[in-house]
Amino acid sequence: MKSRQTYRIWINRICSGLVCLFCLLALVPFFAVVWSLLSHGLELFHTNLFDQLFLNYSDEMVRQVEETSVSANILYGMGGSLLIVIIGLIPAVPLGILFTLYVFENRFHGFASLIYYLGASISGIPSVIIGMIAYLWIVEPLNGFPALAGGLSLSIMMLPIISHYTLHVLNILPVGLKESAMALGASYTDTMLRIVLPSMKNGLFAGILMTVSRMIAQSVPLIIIVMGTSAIQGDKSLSHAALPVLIWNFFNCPDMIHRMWAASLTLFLMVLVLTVFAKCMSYPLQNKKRISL
Amino acid sequence: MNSEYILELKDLSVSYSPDKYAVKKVSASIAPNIVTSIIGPSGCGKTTLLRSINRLHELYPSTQVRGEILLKGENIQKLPSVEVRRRIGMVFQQPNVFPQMSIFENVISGYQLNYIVLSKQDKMNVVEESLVAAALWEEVKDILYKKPTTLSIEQQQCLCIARAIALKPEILLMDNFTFSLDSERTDRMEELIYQMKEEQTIIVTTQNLSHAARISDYTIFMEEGRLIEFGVTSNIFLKPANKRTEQYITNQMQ
Repeated sequence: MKSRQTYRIWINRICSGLVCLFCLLALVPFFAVVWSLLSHGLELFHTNLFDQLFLNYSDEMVRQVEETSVSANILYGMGGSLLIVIIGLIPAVPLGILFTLYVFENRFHGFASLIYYLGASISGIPSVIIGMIAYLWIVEPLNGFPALAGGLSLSIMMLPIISHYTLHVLNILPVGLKESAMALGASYTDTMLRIVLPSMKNGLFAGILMTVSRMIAQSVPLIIIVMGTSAIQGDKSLSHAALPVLIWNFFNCPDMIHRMWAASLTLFLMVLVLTVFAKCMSYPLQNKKRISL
Repeated sequence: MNSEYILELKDLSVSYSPDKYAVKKVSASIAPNIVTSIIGPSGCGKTTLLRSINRLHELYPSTQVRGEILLKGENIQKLPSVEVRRRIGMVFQQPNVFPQMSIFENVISGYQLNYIVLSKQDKMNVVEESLVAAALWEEVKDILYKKPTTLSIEQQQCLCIARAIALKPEILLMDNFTFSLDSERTDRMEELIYQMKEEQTIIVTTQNLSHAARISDYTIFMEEGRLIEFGVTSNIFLKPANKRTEQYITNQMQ
């Protein structure tokens, strides 16, 4: 009997050890990225990172595309990134929330489930295709407006993420809340707009912040739009106007590689701050229950 | 059309899925200003019956209703659901305060949601009257503008009662509302119901038979969705006409 107990204790210890080991292994990529960014980026952080410099491209292909030099001020990049994300949020937030409210309220109908899965499948579309679509929809017919195209591409990518967080918040909302409002004689619209949506405020705000933190570092659709805009329209306004694109531009200049690390560290810190802030917001006071976003 | 009864149920059947009736052919007439308890084992259709009175069961898809519910002689199916719910208030088993509103706003939320404009003084009067009636005024009078989430579950349930009675409904439905209350507050609620019936007709569902015996004038006993017996509370508890009622009460009281 005792030997069986000892055997179980040892099996427990081995399994616990393996779980801890794999947890640590899962954290290795995160710490490797943080270490690279800090070791390369931190020493340059105090230098004149926000100075107006111009990029000189060594890569022949890129030089052909970028005939004139582009500003290397990462303040432009930070502001531009925020602007593009805000352009993306303007249609994505109301559409994502209303779409999910519709799906949640009609969850027993097959049609609502079908369109929810169709909406969620947007997250499976490669970002390069979304970048090309935004380019073809905006830049080509309007002969410019790359920031708008960038915002649109991010907006498409934001929809399933906002929808996911909205559904999550709706699922933890007490069922009786809606019934209580309706039992007071409130109409369905008033119940949704004046009781249900305001009760979701904290969770939704946290979800939007998480969406921003994921989207602010998106590079592929923006690079596609920049390449297209520069090559065909000769417009370079977006080349320095988004941090991920700027990092890509730094990467193409051998003498600017140190700035690439500093800009990457800046972007990483922006994402980190947004994520931590969103996590703090996701403690809804009303339930004392945590939404794990 | 005038009627001596405020509420009449005529052959009422309610189902949540086709041909599976949770309430089967219930008929009862309820006079104004009395307290009626609905008792019966779990799953006997008490809550479904209660929710069908203010048409709240319609929030679930594929519900079917047969028979009629008359509110002062008017068929509630022919009235707008919003009007029915304004005239027939409800308190739920679990308190559901509106977390984004203050205690004050919670009490007058019924007026706000129905776009009934009150003057500042009227608002204050409604809040004070309702909270006094719900036995919560003394505890919250200094924190009226704080969020209700800071209150205990019992206080939140009292706030929900205050919110429901603030609109002065003709009938107040209370679904197992003492579930979240301790014995002391349950006693206070019993006193409150006794006072409230001067102005309102009250229908409660409860699992607690002694609670039902103390507060109600009439009692409905239900089993498997059917109304087994309906009569004066003292008769139901002391001289039940039906053997099943007697059996249930005897088992529960032991």
